[in-house]
Amino acid sequence: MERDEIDSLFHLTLTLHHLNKEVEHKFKLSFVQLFVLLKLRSLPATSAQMLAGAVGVHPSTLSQTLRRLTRKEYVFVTEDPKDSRRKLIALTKRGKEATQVVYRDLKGAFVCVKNARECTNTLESSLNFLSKVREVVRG
Amino acid sequence: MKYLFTEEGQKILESFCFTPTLFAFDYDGTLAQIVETPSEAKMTSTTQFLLSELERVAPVAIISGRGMEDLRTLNRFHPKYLIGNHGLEGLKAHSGCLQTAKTVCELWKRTLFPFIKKHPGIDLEDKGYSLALHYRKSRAKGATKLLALEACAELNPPPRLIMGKCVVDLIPPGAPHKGMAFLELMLECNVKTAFYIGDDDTDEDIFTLPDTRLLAVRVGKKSATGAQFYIREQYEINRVLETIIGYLKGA
Repeated sequence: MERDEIDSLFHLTLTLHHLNKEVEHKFKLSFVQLFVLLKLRSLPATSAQMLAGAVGVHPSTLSQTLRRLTRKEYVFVTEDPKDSRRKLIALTKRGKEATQVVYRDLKGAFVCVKNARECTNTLESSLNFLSKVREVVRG
Repeated sequence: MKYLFTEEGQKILESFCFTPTLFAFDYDGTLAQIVETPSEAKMTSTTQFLLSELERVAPVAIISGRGMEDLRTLNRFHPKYLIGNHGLEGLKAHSGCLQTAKTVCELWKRTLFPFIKKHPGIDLEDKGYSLALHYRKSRAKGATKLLALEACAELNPPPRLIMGKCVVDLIPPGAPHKGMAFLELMLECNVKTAFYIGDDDTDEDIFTLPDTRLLAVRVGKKSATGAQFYIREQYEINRVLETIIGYLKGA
């Protein structure tokens, strides 16, 4: 790997980290939390395992996020009426409204950026690149 | 199984209103009260009004064991998705099976005719593509049910039997059940999540679908059911409809 690529990788990671921090500071919702809430809109009243699969993380990774979202009353966790050993997670009205605010403001931000569509395409290519790097690092 | 009108039930129902959801209903015992004469089972005007209000904001379906023509003549409100004969009528996917089902039913009717004449407590209902033996009017319901089942055992080709409330439905072989029809309807409506409410054993075909995208509610509490929630009696259906409309309009 060339030094330029490592630089790009580092800056990309750092920018994403800062963006995430700023979004969290402004909306009190991180990108991961926003993504979980958006997934819950299309998967109402689902199990933690299903939700983790949809988000693409391990259920144990998701539990911390869910705890935070429950504290904010954005999600609601209850016993599955069919099986008391299982929990169901559902989006609350408050959670849905929070996603709408963030979504609307971010969409507004995308409009302000010149050539937003092309940038998104570049971002997609960067994601593919990062996935390949991950594969190599994992061995 | 939990009561729908609890905090948990309400919140889960509300979460289904945040995404495009199909709202499907069984007819007899759910939208309309069960009455002595099946041809008199009509929805109240309030229920019909609420259903039409719901249809303004979401896809609505009625899935019934009754024939489609029968459903149409009973009420003024007809949803866009009206599924009759346990899923055989009203779906594009099953239009090919209709003629075969009709021929089989004609054959069964001829075989059953002498039996019906001998037992005045049993009424034969011809739904066009399936038959039903009603024994609600019989005084000895248990014995009459056995007689009806014995008569059904003589039929060729053998029917798929569905036991309802004082009724035995005779379904031609190869016809779908309500669960299959429900999944096909979800595809036809292009929705990923669905709500279904029913009261009968035939509705278990939907309640037990291994699909987490379904919110299943039963009319009447029962321990052996696949439904997650229940409402106590049929009269609560208007409250269910009002609640859903409220959530959808607020969403």
